[in-house]
Amino acid sequence: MIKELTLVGIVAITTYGGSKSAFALDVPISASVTGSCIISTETNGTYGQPNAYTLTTAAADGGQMPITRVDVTLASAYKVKFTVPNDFSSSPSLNDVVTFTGDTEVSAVSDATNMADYETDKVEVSTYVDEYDLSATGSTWFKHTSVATNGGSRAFPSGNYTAYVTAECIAL
Amino acid sequence: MDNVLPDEYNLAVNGVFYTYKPIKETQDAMKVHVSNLNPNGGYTFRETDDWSGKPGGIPIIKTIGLDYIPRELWGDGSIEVEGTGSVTDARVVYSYRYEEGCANPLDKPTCPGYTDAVLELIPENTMTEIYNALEDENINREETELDNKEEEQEPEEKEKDDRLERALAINEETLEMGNSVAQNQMLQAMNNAILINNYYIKVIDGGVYQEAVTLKDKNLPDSKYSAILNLSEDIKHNKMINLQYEGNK
Repeated sequence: MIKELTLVGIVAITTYGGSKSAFALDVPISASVTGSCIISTETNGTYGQPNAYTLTTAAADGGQMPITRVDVTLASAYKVKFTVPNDFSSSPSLNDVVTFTGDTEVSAVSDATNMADYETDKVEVSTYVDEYDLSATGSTWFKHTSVATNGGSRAFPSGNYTAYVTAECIAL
Repeated sequence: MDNVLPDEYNLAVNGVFYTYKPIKETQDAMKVHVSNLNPNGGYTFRETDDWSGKPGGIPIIKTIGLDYIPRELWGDGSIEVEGTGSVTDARVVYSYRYEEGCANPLDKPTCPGYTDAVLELIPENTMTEIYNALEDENINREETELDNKEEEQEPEEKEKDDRLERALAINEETLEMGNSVAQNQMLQAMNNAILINNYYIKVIDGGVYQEAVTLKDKNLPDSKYSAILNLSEDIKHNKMINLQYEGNK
């Protein structure tokens, strides 16, 4: 929505700027749009290492699931799309192909009647991508899982590994 | 709520945060009521979540803002389940504010119970009557005896006493005057030191004043009058010298 409004403003200015009149005047039309869909990180995730060739966010294996929170002030105006990691954004030089698995689930809701179905109504776009229609106003918490397995059961090289969950609010 | 909200002055609740996980089958009808009774009747706070036909297992996290409801209106709290199902991991948090400084009634005079607390601090035996020496019987009796003695004294003795009293009074006055003179001298000396110090610390702007003599003429010619004066003095000098020889002639 913000991008569309900006485009309208540019067109108006161009029209006035193209005038040959010596008394041309640019009349501004401004707008301030506050985001109606806000994504925030509730908890950062951590990979645990149950064995040499697996990294996982499972709490039982010493990991921590990342949790994101989505607040919307307009009902049925947005959907949120989550992409769990399918690659490391940074890591040491890997010695084999790493296979990623992961999922996103509703962790908590702020409205029982209107949000309890979010999880059952989830659309699994692909192995790594899930979408939720935000049909009610309020807050929804989502938890994400991620498991990375090194090929050939070979041990992960020592070093620091980072992967990202991507969350997007998409206007309907 | 006495074991939940602290006993603070002017405490008012401005929000309730609660969370729980509903345990139920999707097809079951279930409502969850989170509430606090009002001691005057009814409810001060009541929020209902309708889970009927909804799946369980997903926790709810809810925050409700309130308009500063006094603690007196907050009765016992409860989470009731209406229908089939239950809740687990329930937690209710109250957000409140209170006026600081009245934890002890003595903190401020405006605190409730301030007067009683002050009175409790004062021991009973310190509540004494005001002593008026003029009403003291012993003193009055003593004064009367002295007056009578004075009246009984002979005139000569009385006169002696009066003279002695005057002499002592004069002596005291003299000492006081001497003291006052000495004090004045000390004050004057101190004032002088203060005044003179101002001159010592005074810094004159400009520092050193350099000589700035300017001669208009490059050459200073001999005065004509000085030449005449010199000649006349020479003549006079010669005459005086010659006078000593004239006597010998």
